[in-house]
Amino acid sequence: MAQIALPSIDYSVILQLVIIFGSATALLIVDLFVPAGRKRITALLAFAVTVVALVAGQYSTAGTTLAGAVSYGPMSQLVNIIILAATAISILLASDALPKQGIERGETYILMLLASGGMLLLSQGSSVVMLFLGLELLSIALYVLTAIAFPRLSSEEAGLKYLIIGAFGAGFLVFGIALTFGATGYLTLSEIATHIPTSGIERGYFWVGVTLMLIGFGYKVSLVPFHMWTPDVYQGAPTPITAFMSVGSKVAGFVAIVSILQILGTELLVLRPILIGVSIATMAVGSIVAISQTSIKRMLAYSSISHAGFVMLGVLSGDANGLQAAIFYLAAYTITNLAAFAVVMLLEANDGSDMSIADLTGLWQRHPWLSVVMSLALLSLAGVPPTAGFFAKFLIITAVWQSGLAWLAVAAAVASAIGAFFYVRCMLQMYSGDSETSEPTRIPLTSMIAMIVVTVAIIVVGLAPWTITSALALAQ
Amino acid sequence: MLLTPRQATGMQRSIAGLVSIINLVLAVIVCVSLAPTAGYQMVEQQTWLPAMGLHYAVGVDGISVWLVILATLMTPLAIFAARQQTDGNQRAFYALLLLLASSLIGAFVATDLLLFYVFFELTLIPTALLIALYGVGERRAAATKFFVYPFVGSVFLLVSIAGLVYVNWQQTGVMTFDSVALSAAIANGTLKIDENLERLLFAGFFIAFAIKTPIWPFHTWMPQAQAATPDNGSVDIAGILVKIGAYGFIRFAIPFFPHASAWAAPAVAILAVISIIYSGIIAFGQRDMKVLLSYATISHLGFVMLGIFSQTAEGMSGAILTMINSGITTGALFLIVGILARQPGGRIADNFSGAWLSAPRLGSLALVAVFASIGVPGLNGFIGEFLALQGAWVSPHIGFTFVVFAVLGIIVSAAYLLRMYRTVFMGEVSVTSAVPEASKSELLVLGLLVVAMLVIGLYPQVVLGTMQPSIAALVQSLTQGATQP
Repeated sequence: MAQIALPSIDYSVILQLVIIFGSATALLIVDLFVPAGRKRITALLAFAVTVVALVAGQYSTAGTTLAGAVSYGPMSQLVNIIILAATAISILLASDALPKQGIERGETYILMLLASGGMLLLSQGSSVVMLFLGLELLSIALYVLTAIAFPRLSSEEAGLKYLIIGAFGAGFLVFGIALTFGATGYLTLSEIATHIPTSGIERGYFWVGVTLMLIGFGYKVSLVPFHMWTPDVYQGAPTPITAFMSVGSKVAGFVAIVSILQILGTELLVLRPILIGVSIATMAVGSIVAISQTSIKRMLAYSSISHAGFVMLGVLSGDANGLQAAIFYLAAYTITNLAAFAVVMLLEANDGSDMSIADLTGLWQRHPWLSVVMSLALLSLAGVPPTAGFFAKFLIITAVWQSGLAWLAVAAAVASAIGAFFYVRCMLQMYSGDSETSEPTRIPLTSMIAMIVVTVAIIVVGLAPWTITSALALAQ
Repeated sequence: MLLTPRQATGMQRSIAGLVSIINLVLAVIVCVSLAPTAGYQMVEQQTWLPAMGLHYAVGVDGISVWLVILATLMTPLAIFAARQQTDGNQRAFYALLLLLASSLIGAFVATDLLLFYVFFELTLIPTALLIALYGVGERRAAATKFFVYPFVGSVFLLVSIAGLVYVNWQQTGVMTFDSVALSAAIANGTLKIDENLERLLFAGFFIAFAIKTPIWPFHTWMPQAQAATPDNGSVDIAGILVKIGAYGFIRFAIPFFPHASAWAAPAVAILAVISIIYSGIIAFGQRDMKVLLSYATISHLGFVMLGIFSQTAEGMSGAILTMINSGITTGALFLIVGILARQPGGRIADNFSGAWLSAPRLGSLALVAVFASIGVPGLNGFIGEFLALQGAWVSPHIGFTFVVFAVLGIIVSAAYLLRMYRTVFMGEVSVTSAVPEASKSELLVLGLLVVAMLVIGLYPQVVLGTMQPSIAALVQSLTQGATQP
C-alpha cells in the first residue's frame, strides 16, 4: 500500500487556528476539574485563549499552506481580528448572563471557542473543502449552543429548527462543491478561478455549483429568501448565544461569500442582477417586517436581516471599494449589535423569558447609563452620525455609486429610512413613561467592561473611521 | 456638565448659562473681527479620512457668522426660559440643550459637506430626546415623528452628497467633500453635471432641506412636535433654530446646482407661497398659542424660501435677515407664552383676558414682538420680508405674481397674531384669568430682545453690512455657474 503523502504544513500561517482548536480541546479536559458553580474559571480561560489568538495574529505569516487549502493574508488578518474580538466580548457577556439564567455549563465557552475556530477557518480557507469544514464546525457548535438552555422549551425548539434549516444549507453547499469540482476538476479557489469552463455542459454545472454554494452561505448570513429561521432562532436561543451568532456567523459567512465571488472575477457581472435582487429583497423584508415586532430579540433579528442586505450591496459591487465598505460595515455592525444585546442581556428576566420592546419603557429613569448605551447602539444600527453605523452606511452608499448603480444607492437610502423608524421608536421608548419596576439593575463587572469597550468603539469608529479604513486600505 | 451633582440644579443652570453666554461673547467677537471680504475666514482644517478626501474643516463667512450668533443667542435664552423646569433630570436637560447648541454651531461653520451632514443629523438627537423626556401629551409619538421625518429626508441628502462627490471625482480626479472647492468647480465650469442627474441630485438636497425648513407640504412634523414640548418654551426657542434647512439651501443646494435650482425656482416659490398662506389660515384657527406660533414660524420660513430662490442679492440678504428675525421675535413670543403658561390657563389663548391691566409691562413688550412678527415698518420683521419680496419681484425666476400672494400672507399673519394678542391682553380682567406681572429678570431679557428688534429694524446695516460681500460673491458665482453650458 502506498504511503499517504501529507502535505507540508507551515504552522505560522495557521497559528490562530492551532491556538483556538488546541486550547478548546485542552479546555474540555480542564473543565472536568472545574467544580460546578465556578464555571466562570472556564469562561475566563476561554477568554484568555481568544486574547492570545488575537495577539498571535500579529505574529502569523502571510502565505498559503496545506496544499493551498488554508491561507493567511492582510484581509483574513483583519477579519480574524473582528471574529476573535467578537468572541472574546461574547464570552465575557455570557459568563455573566448565562449563570443568571441558571445555565452553568463550562462547555458553553468551549463550544464558543470551537465555533469561532470554524469562523476563522471560513475567513482563512482557500479551498472549497475548507469552507465546508469551517461552516460545519461553526454550525454544529451553534446548534448545541442554541439549545443549551435545556430544558427550556423555546431554546430546544430553536436549536432543532436551526439544525434542520442548517442541514439544508449544508446540503446545498456540498452539492454545489461537488458540481463545481466536477466542472473544473479543482478544489482550491485560485485554481477554480483559472479553470472556469467557457462552454459546454461544464459551464452549466459550474454556474449551478457556484449558485448552490452561495445559497449555502446565504442561509448562514440570512439573506432573503433563506432568512426564515433567523427570528425564531434569535428569539429562542439564550441571549449571549444570539449575540455571538448574530455577529460571528454573519461576518464569517460573508467572508466566505466574498471568497466564492472572487473566483468569478469579471464573470461576476452574470450573477449581479440576481445578487441585486436578493440584497434589495433582504433590506426590504428586514426593515419592513421589523416594524411590527414586539419582541426586542425578534426586532434585532429582522434588523440583522436588513443589515445583511446592506453588506451584500458592498459585496456585489465586486471592486475594492465595495469590499472595503462591506468589511467596515461588518465591523461596525459587530460592535453595535454586541452593545445592543449586552443591554438586553442585563435587562431580561432571570428565567430567560422573551423581552418585549415595551419592557424598555422608562429605562432612562431606572438606569440612565444603560439607556445611553442602548440609544447609541440603536442610533448606530439606524446609521445616524456620529456613530460607527453612519460611516458604514456612508461607505456602502459611496461604493454603490462608484460601481455605477446610482439607483441602488437610492434603494439603500429608502431601506435605511424605513429602518430608522423602528430603531428610533424603540429608542424613545426608553425615555418616556414610567418604569413598572423601580429596582435598578445591577451590572456585573465583566459585563460592564465588555459594554464599555463596545460603546467606546461605536463612538471612536464613528468619529475616527480611519482606525479601520487605514487597515482596510493596507489589506487591499 | 454630567459631572455636576444631581441635586445642585441651580449650579447646573448657572454653569449651562455661563457656558452659553461665553459662547455668545465669543461669537460676537468673531463677528466683529470678521474682515469685510467674501470667502471663509478663520478656517481650521484637520484631515479626517484622507483616502476619501474628508476633512474636519470649519470656517465662518458673513452669512454663517450671523446664524452662529443667533444660535449662541438663543441658547442662553432657552436656558433662561427653562429655569421653571422642575421635573425630570436637570443635568440631562442642560446637557442636551448645550449639545444641541454645539451641533447647530457645528453645522453653520462646517465647510466640509460630510461634516455638515454629521452636524445636521446630530441636531435631531438632542431635540428628539428633549421632547421625549420633558415634553407633554403625546410626546413619544411627536418625538418619533420629529426624528424620523427629517431623517428620511436626510438619507436622500446623503445619497446626493455621495453622488455629487463621485461625479466630481470622475471629472476632475479629485476626491473632495470641500464645499468651497465643489462650488468653485461648478462656477468655473470644470465640473459639468448632466442635466437630468443635476436635477436628481438637487432633488436629494431639496427633500432633506425642505423637510427641515419646513415648507408646505413637508411641515407636518413641526406643529405636532411643538405641541408636545414643555410649556415653558425652552425647547421651542432652541427649536426655532433647527432651520438649518434654509441655510443648507443657501450654502449648498443652490451653489452646487445652479441650473436645477433655477429650473425648480417657480415650483419652490409656489410651495413657499402656499406655505405662507396655508399656515396663516391654519394658525387663525389655533387656540393653543404655541402651535399658533409654530405656524407663524412656518410662514416666516415661506418668505425665507422665496428670498433664497429669487437668487438675487436682495432676496438672499432678506432671507437671512428673516431667519434671524424669526429667531428673535418668535423666540421672544415663546418666552412670553412660557410666562403666561405658568397660569392655570395654560397655553390656550381663550383662557386669558385683560392681561394688560394686570401686567402692563409684559403686555407692551409682547405688543412690540407681535408687531415685529407681523412686519410693521420700523421693526426688524419688515426689513427682512421686504427685502425677500423685493428679491422675488426682480428675480428672473419668480416674478411679481408670487409677491402679490405672499403679501396676502402678511395680512393673514397680522390677523391671527393680533387676534391672539387681543384675546390675551385686552378685554376685561376676570378673577380666574388675572396674570401677575413678569419678574424683573424676565422683563430685562424681553427688553433686550425688543431693543434688538428695534436696532435691526431702524438700522439693518448692522447685519446686512457683514454679509454683503459673501452674498455678492455667492450671487456672482451663481450667475457664473448658470451661464456655464
